Amino acid sequence: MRVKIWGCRGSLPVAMSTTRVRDKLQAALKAAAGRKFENDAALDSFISDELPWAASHTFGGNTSCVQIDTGSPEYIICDLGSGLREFGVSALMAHGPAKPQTYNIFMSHLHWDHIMGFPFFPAAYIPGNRIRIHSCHPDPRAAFLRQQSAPCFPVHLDRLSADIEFITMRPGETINVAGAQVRALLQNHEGDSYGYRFEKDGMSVVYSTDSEHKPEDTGGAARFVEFFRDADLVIFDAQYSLADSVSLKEDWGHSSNISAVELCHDGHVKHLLLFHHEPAYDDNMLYRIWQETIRYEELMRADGAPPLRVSSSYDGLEVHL
Amino acid sequence: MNIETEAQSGAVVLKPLGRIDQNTAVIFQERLLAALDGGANCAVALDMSGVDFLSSVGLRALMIAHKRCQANGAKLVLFALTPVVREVFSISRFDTVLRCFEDRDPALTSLSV
Repeated sequence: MRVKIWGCRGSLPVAMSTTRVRDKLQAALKAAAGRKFENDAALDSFISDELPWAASHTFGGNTSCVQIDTGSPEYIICDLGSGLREFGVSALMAHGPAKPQTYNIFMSHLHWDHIMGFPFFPAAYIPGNRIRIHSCHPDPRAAFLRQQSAPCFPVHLDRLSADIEFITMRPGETINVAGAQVRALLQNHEGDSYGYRFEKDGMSVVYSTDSEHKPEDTGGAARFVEFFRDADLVIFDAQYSLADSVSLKEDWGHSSNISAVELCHDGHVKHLLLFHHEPAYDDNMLYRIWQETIRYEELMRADGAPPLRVSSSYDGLEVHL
Repeated sequence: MNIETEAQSGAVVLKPLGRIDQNTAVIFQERLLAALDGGANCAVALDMSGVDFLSSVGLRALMIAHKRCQANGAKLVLFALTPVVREVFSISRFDTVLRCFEDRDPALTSLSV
């Protein structure tokens, strides 16, 4: 299986400001001062190996959209945030408009940042494409209709040419899609949200975003530990610090890197991917949180336990399982 | 887990000793919450100088204690955090929520205000 992050930002898309671009340029030029590069390959190596991560990368600004590639010709996509636009262009470039595709969508929930990419999804405008939107919510179409009705958007939902189907899932029920077994779990978020576990050929990926884990809810934690059990990859909403999640931002529906490590340790997860980044944080802050999480995992790891690999999502990241 | 208790200047000083982890967090949480039960009349200073490790469950106990204080008006401060505990507090940003002091005297003074 392969996972590609098309959008990792929480709540609202963000764009990098000129100030931040200049910060990166300054860092790069300082690091390169006095250096000579024989060719582009040498320059590329310098960028990859010697520049600080936050100078050579950006976490990106698109909201939630994750591709789960099972090797099937059918696509699996989790959430339709603004990252969907780039995915849609990529798919269109790969196949061209004349070859219909099947897109299996799994919705964590229907908040705006998770559906806002759909009006900009080229495949939705092309006859012959099949778009199957799986959701555990009772009437997901209403959210899409509201988004693509006057005065919010000029193209009404009913004018989209693709074959769009809404499929209701029930938490706990396993369905087979694109060669994978898929199961949903109810999560704590305003209006409810759902995590999904995808399994294929002994590999497993969990997509769990917009999910608040309360410290006193030990029963809830046990449900998630079981859902995460032995997963090869868990994509986890770590938007807030633990302190924020229990104080100012309590009941805002998100979680922390601390809860992520705790649940993944308890579930013997192999790889944790921090996700749904706070839009107010710049690349330096997100990099700091990532490194702190690696350190926290090291501190909390039980004696003799294998390390939990900790990564942080960025737009364009691919994880091969 | 051994937790030393001392009444001092209108406050209770609790001094847990050893690791606060899966094996000890329940006792730690019970003792801490009991000390905070009296609401606005309660002031607790946690002497952390004897805690050489604080796991996620220990953080959870402190979170619950913090929420109890918010609900009932009790006061909680910490002092003399060991390096590892200080690091855990920094990563979790708990040092921005719980009042932490280097030394005992300013911690106790803050409770008397």
